[in-house]
Amino acid sequence: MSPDEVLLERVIATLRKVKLEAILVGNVASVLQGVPIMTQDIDLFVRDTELNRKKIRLFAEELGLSIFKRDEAISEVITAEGHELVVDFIFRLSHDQKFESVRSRAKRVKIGRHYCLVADLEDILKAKKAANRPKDQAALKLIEDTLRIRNYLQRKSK
Amino acid sequence: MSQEENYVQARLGGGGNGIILLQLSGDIEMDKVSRKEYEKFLRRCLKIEKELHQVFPDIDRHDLHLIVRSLLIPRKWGRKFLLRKRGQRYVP
Repeated sequence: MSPDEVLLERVIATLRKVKLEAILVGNVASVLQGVPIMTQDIDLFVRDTELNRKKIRLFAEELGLSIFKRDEAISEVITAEGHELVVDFIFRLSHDQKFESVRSRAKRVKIGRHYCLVADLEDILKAKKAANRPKDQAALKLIEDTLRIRNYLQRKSK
Repeated sequence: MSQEENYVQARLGGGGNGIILLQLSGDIEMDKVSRKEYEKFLRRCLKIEKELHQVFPDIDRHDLHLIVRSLLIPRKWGRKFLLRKRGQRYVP
């Protein structure tokens, strides 16, 4: 495993330890499905409940991360960060992407000794299109092209 | 040498040394992946890219290479995806 995969495995193991159900989204989820991009943080999609917010604080404590508080009561993202690791907990993707529906399409991917749920590339694409941030523009094109190529290769192999 | 072999050599730094190969290969731990193994992988990528370029001529050749490489790279070789801030720069 690469050092990044070791770090990701620690994140997944800690999520399990604090019993926080999360779906890997964003660029790391894209990379795990063949999109050639890099990122600075790990994005996790979680249900917005008071209990989950407590679990996020526990998760941060376990990994020695600080919680970056925007206005936590209204923010759709909580960031847990340290020197080597930044984890964004996202409570909302686009308006019509509910946690359950994203989870139903997610894949189980093994990282080291642990499995994590990774959002489908189509869901990641949809969320990035909805966010419409300038920094996502380059990634959008690569995700779209990767999907076209992946689907073509899958059709061909059948 | 065929055009494809030339392309492989160009990708590998024109038959250069392992240092160049290490830079080009990015996320591969070269102490675990031999040059021969990597060249075999690269040839497979290039063969598939050649076909894909006919089907998707609008996709930039360099992007196509990176996508095919990312889709086909063996899991056991490991992946790097996090950038870290070192001074004023972001590095893998």
